[in-house]
Amino acid sequence: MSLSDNTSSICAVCGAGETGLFVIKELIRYGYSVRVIDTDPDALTNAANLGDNITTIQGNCLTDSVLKKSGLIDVQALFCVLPDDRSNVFLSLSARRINPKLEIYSVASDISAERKLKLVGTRRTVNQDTAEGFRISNEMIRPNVARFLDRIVFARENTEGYLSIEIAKGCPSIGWTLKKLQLNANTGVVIIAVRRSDDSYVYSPSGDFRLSENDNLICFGTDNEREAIRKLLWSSKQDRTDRWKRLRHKFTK
Amino acid sequence: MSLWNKSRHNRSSFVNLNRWHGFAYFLSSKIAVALTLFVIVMSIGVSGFLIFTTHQSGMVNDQLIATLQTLKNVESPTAAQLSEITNIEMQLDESTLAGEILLSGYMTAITITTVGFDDVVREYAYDFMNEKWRRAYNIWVTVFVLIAYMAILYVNANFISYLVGTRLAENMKRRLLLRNISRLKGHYIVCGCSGAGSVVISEFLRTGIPVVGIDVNDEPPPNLRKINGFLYLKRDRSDDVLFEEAGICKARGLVSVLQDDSDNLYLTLTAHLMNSEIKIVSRAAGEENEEKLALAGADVSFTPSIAVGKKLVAGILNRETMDFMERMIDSKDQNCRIEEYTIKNNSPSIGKSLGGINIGRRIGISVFAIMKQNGSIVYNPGAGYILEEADVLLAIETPEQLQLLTKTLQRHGKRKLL
Repeated sequence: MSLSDNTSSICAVCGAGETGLFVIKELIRYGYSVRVIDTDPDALTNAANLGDNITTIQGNCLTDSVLKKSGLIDVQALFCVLPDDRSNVFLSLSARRINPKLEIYSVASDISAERKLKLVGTRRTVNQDTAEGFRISNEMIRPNVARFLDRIVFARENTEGYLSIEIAKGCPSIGWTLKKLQLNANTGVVIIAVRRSDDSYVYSPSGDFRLSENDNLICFGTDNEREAIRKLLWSSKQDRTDRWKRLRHKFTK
Repeated sequence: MSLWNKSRHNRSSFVNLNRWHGFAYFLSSKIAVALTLFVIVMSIGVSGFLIFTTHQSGMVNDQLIATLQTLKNVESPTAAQLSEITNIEMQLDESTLAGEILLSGYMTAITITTVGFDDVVREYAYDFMNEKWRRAYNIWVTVFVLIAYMAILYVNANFISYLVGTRLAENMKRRLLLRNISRLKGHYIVCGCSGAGSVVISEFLRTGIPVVGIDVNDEPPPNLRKINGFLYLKRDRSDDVLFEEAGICKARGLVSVLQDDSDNLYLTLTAHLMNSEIKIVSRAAGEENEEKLALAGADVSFTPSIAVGKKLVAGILNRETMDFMERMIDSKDQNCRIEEYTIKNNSPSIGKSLGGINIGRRIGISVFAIMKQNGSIVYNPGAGYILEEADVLLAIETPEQLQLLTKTLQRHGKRKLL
């Protein structure tokens, strides 16, 4: 079984319906090679016409033999876009058994199915109604935000965009407030949110926010700014107190 | 022939069954029960009073006739005696059976409606009764009045609930709803309140934008029923009338997310003809229908599979970003979203620096990016950034903070002048 040699960039898509075809198109655009599994030969020919790096496998993806034949071992991600929730849950579970490291993405039509998919180990579930509803409301009341998010998420080059900086154990900045660190003044970056260690978020943290272990600082910016923040966070305590002393000195003068 | 007979027999029996069913249904209805009860109470009352007013009418009549005779024998009657004579003659005329029944009906009516009681019987019959009859009369009146009172309560309650429960309440509700809608301005109309529609509606209402929802069901779906300020219209008349009622001329946008593409197309076309300035977003289940919807006047038409597919692919491309966005969108407790505020061309804030307005201190939000008119994005604008026309400020904030921001930016220049 040597469908492809580059393991990190193969995706499998189960179900070549409308959503499936769109997913395949986008994946091809971003340089992934795709394996499509479906029972319908017409849908498979449709999918095969979308690009060069597409391998089609005809068969019922709910059977283990077909999944094994499609070589799930060397696949990075699996997209379950079958029309009903039960098959998606079943597919996720059997795929997880074949390859425990697989990233599984699935559609779901209601909350209970989403919960089950999460339980099975799906990395991300997309609720059809929610996705559609939020797209519409964004389109209506905040069209610029929708454009902004599209630009950030689908950015071709990763120079500018979302940054998440972890404050690991032993970082000298633990216990400092944002005001004292002078993040904004020194690097020009605006911290929009902080993810706490228990996965909750603090939005628009004020200057009095005190950093603790395993916090994640979230901001938008370039890679240079990421380096600048990291440097500032990891600069030793002595440096920082010196700088403060200098500042105070200047002030009293 | 036998076939024909059989079918006809079947049909007739079916009709019979139906008629019986209808009659039984009427009998079981509360109005029928109330009516029957009313008739029964009336007849008990009439017959009871009839018995008590007439049981000694023979004796009373004899006495009256006797006094009449003695009065008539008087040679030269006084005026008082003459009037007494006419009075007695009138009483004798009334004491026919028809007169008695009428009197009993009158008694029953004034008794069960609690208007009055006892003016007739006392005068005509009570004084002539012996002790036994008086007791019997008292007991009977007590029992009858109690029964009649309860029966009338029942009848009244049913009658009122019938009035309130059907047309009256329905009309009142609708009129109230229409009045509420007519007060709206710059609202959004959402056709289709289940699935994606319900997400759209709750998102709009969360942001504080008024919404009129339209669907075929009597009631909106359960998750929307509890939300205050959501106006729901049933799609039970022609779309033109419905849109007129929903205030389409004053609405800012229309969202059509029905399952059927032809329905969406028709609604889009109707709305576009009634108000050409309204912003229309419509769902196209098939990709090939997007163009048709655009032709019909939809500003944005999209297929649901694209929204889902985009999110799926975004997960593999940029997982952390999507996780963050997802968190903000889906979590119920956090009311924060990335919101935008556009600087209008006559805003007093143009030419001011971000630091000068000091949004961070005043509202507690931080502007992390600004989209310029030419499409470029300025990340992390510093305090020295000078606001320009048509800049879009992006920040994470709650709806209340967005309102505060709008107020601050609009009022800023004026306050400076004062």
